[in-house]
Amino acid sequence: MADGEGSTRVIRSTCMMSHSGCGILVHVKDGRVVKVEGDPDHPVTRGSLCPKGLSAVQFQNHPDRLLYPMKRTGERGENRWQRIGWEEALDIIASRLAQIRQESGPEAVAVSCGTGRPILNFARRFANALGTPHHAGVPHVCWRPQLGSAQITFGRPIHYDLPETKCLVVMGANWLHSNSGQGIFAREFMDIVRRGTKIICIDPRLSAIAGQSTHWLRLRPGTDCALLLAWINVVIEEGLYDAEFVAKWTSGFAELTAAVKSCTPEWAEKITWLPAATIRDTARLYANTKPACFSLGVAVEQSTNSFNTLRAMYILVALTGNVDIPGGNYFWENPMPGSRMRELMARDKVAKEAESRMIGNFPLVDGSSPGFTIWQSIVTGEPYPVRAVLVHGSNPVLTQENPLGLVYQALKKVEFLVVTDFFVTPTAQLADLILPAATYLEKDDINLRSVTNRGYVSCSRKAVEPRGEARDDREIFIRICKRLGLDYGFPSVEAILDWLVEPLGTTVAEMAERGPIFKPQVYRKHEAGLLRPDRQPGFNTPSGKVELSAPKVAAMGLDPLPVYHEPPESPLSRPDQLDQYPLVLTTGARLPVYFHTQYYQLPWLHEIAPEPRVEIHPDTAAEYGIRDGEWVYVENERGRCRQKARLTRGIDPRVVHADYAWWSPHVQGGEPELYDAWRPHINLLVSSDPPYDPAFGSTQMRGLMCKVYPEKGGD
Amino acid sequence: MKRLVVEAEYCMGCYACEVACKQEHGLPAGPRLIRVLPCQEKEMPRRGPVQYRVSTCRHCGKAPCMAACPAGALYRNQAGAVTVNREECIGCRDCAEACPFGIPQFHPEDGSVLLCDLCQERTKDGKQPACVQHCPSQAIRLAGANEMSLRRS
Repeated sequence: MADGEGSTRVIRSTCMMSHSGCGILVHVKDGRVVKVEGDPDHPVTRGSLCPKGLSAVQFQNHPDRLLYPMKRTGERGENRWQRIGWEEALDIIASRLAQIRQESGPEAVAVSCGTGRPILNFARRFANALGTPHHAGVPHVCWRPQLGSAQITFGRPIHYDLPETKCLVVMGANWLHSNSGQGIFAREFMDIVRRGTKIICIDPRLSAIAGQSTHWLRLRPGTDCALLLAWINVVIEEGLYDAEFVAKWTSGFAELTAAVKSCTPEWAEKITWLPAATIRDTARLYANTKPACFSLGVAVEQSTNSFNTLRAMYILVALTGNVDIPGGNYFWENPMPGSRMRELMARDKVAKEAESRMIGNFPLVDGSSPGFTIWQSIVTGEPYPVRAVLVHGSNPVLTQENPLGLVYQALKKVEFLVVTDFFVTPTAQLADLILPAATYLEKDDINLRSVTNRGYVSCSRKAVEPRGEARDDREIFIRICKRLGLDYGFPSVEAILDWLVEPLGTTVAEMAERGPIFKPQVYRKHEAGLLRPDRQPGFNTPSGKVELSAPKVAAMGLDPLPVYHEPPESPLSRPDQLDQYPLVLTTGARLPVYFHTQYYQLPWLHEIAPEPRVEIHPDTAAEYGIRDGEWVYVENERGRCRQKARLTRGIDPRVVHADYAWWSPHVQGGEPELYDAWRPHINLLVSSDPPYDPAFGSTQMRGLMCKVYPEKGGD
Repeated sequence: MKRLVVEAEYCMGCYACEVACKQEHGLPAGPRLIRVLPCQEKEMPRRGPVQYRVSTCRHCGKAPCMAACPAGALYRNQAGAVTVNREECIGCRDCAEACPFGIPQFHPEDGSVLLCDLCQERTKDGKQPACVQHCPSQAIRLAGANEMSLRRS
């Protein structure tokens, strides 16, 4: 902690406005945060900071921050509240949870999280302490699919090594604008752009990355797996694979060769809308350039074929020998001791009986439930109703599938709902109790996400006292457990953080001042026996090799070799719908100024993106009589939403893209509008019904069918 | 004399420059001293399509705004920026009329003109201007008078 000039203190810290973990300097004057800027001395982010991070002052000091626990006085959703003290709030929670636990078992309680930064691991521990298997949220469509698929293929998660690569493939990601790496990857990405590196971007939209790429593959949304299988076909048929690596370190090559025999570029052309020649050329480029690395985003995971798509991608990484080499895909070295993380997330207090009754237990999601499975249990009572939901850092009304028909119904029906957040959100308005969360500027923390993004761990510091009576979510977990006579395992947040960093021989305060901690990267760990518990060379998989074919997963009902399954709703699978819904809909591209549902109330950001927009090709717009800047409806058989048309040639004429997670915190809250949650809500068009990806429960959020028409004065 | 030079082909449209500027100068929503403008994309991009333009003050050598100001409120500061002494500004907007690029912005409350000052308070301490430091793609630079412009649009 350094003293600045005069009465302003400058504190070195880590931004937590998104997952990235960028280095920041926090300026504090008279107990108030007055400025947050990039830290030029940070080795990765080098002084850059995205607009979200730069708006931290408006976030921290916002007049609408929730400052006190509030108890509902009207009906659910009326948005009428009475301020109460923490003791009363905790009494209410403890008595309701005790009653429900006793009557229906601990599994009738669910803890619901969103991005979970930075509390996800701690919330899992909270669910464990409550004895419930139900830590619910978005594992099926965010992050878990790539971890699980890599686990099956390589025995552990794998990442991409941007700085040294000679060919970068980006699939369904736009991390120049999104939350997972805007600050972290942008500097390294622009470095490789300036060097003239080959970049292949697979995206239906002309994203910021597509715009900087040498090859933009504008495929039909939802067909990524077909493209990858055709690439595998080219790589094998033309002998472009790394024969030495394949022979020595992989298993199932013969089965794979047979499986992709028919997946020719000509086959994929009909599915993906990409010319066969383009597919062939880019497969050759990727396979012939070494090192090459593959990067992906949630668009690939938000598909009912997410496991196979990700498997195909990882298989390509192995076929080309880009495994754990500089500039390829690599296994990051984690500076945080894995044993402590495993212990933190232990699931040792969920009784066998409760575990066997877990709802939404898809085979590879690692103990978290897709949110929709919990909502379904509440609405249908099948297999039994979850009776209490504690929401921490999540806004499922705005983010999840079928928000009106499922999420809203469940939140209205559930017996007891507590929401902890920074602001009163559409979800919070439906609660019985709302609790004020402390911001990242009001608590000490360790950024664990930068480890998985870029291999470093860093700390963020408490710069000011919490405003009002806002509290750290983790302190709330500990206090609820204490009231219930349950053991969270730590007496305080400080005790957890100290315990976590102890093996690093440091403290949170010292770490924040020192900047990020890296562990020196060792490559080709499979050769040195660093991947397996028995210290033998190879991979930590059943065969000890990279599993091109993974026979073990057949028992889980999964495909051992990647197979292309057409999306359940698409022009090919539902030609009967084409007359009514002729366009393909993709959604949820990230805006640089918002993070899912967050920051819509910050003036600096809202003026940059004041309205939800649907991107339409000018030719398509002309066909449907739509003008640029006009309000239009996007509609399918499940619902419709209203957004503003943005005409652009950066999208296929057969495809439209609509913004997601939109709301208007500055308009009147309460039912039925819930801060204008419904009118612009694209997820009204997204189904929560089967089919799901069999490994993760992923739903089809991209590549749906729709029609678009002008509002014409309030149709 | 110095000015900001933008390599628009490397702009990734993140708007960090706009918000960094706002914070540095304590500006509310409304006036934007640096502005990212999306432009019509090409059908199929090659490396370096101009997807965005970045508009900011050129700090002209013979600044028409300065000549047009009847109150003598505009001046060239030590960083080389054509900027304003807001105490002297009468809010007539003649500077905006005179500027060929539509740069001058006005405070929504007192109506006084707001102009880029090349972050004189930062540069005198050896720091980069806020927009330059925060740009993740390093597409904005502070360049000397004799440096060729890289602006392409």
